[in-house]
Amino acid sequence: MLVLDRVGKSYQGNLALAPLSLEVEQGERVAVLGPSGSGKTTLLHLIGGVVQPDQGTIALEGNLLANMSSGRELASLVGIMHQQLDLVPHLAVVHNILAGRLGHWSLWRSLASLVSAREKHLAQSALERVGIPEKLNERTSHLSGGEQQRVAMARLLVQQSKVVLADEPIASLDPARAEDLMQLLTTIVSESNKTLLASLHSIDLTRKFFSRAIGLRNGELQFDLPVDKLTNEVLYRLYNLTETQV
Amino acid sequence: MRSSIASTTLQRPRYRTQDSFFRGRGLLTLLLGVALIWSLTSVNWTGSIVHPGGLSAIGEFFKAAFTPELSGSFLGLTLGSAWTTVAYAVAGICLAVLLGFPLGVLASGVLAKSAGRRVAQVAGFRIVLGFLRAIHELVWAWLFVVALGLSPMAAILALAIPYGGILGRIYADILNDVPQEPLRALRSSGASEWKVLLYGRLPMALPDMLSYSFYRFECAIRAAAIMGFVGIGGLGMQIQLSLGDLFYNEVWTLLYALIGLVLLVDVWSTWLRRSLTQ
Ligand SMILES: Nc1ncnc2c1ncn2[C@@H]1O[C@H](COP(=O)(O)OP(=O)(O)O)[C@@H](O)[C@H]1O
Ligand SMILES: [Mg+2]
Repeated sequence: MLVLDRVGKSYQGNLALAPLSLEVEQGERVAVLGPSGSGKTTLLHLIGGVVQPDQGTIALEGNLLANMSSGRELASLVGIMHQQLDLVPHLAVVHNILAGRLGHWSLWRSLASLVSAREKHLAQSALERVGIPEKLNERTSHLSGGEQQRVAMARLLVQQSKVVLADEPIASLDPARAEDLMQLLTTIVSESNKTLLASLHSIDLTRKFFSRAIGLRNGELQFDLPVDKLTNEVLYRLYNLTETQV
Repeated sequence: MRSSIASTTLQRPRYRTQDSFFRGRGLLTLLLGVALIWSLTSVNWTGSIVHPGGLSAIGEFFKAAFTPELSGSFLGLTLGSAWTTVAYAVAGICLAVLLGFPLGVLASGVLAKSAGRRVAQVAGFRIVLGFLRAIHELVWAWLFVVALGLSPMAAILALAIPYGGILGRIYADILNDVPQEPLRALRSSGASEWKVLLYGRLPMALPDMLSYSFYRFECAIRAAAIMGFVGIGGLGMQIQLSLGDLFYNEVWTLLYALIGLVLLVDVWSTWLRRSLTQ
């Protein structure tokens, strides 16, 4: 499904991700762990086609990312939720969700939809799915951070990509909401047998919602394990902690 | 925390990193300082600034501010010429927006297919915009009066061309300066640059574009009034006539009308902007 072959990336000579190979099967839920600056965002951005690798190749369903002619083709394969909120604050929620359809729509349809929303039922049911159905026509800037996170998820839902990438989707949420959101995200992806890669900092939630975990440290892959093999010892080494610090 | 800083720097230009004197603001400040001193020394300060008889004329003029001409017939005339001025300004600014918007989008380079084309496109259209606004509206007015005679079209075109150039330039900057993260997200969902423009850049840029256009509308009212001086009608022409007859009371009535108009536009634009940005 997703194959990375010795993919590496540096920024101005600083190594962000050392050459890394990885294979992910359809339906897997992979947690990307590691301290800040370890290369999690870089890895997800590479897979999402947001940045280009310096070396190595990335293939989705056998198609090389580098050979994809249009953003449209890429968008049907992979969708990404970024670390920062990235909705358009001035638009109504409905248009921010339907932005996920832009890869499917013609330019004229996209324009017409701004006047009178197309495929509104898709937006409505996606918003119901993420638990805030009443916000459809609200201005996005009026929503709380957590609600905006849900709108971003609804946008990803209507995009209907096969792989879903989420970069620290719960970083700004309190623990209870974080768990709710993780639950929601994993339910949504497993219902349609999508593949999920998400970076996060919670070991508990990793154990609860993911099937596999990879650990990054200083841009190097430290481990790649099924979650039931994720021992404390492995984690201490990843975060460079002594037992008393945990 | 560190990772979020790293990701935001992703969008920043790279050349800021080595901020030496010559690359930074130091050199610019120095140059501007030298230019200022040079310009001060090149003014002839020795001659008297006001000629002797002028002083009493100025006194008369300002005394008349307290007794503007308020007769019914003159108020009617004022209202009529105010209307003419507003009509020129509205038509001029509308045409300027129609001209400036597409030029601004092109000059921003956001629709260019490749980096090379972007550079060429941005340079080309910035030159066009520069040409449009390099020539003052009064010069355009004079040119169009020569070409078209004293017709309203002359006033409207004279406004629309330089203002279109100014608006286009500002629109281009605003479109370039919107936050990049939402745009990146749109591209990730498969949007072309046209769709990114529609769903990201324009909605985010609109409040600023609108408020700048209104500010320019204020300027257009003043300019339309001044344009009356070349004989095209409106408040400016009446001011010139009353000034010529030394009817300062009338001049003040007309000036108050002009100030009122500008204030009105100010209130309106504040209200509109607030309802747009909330
Ligand atoms: N656009 C960029 N320009 C320069 N350096 C970057 C950029 N993005 C990331 N980096 C660097 O690459 C390394 C990995 O960053 P990142 O992938 O954001 O880590 P994480 O998401 O795990 O916190 C860090 O040292 C970071 O400073
Ligand atoms: Mg990160």
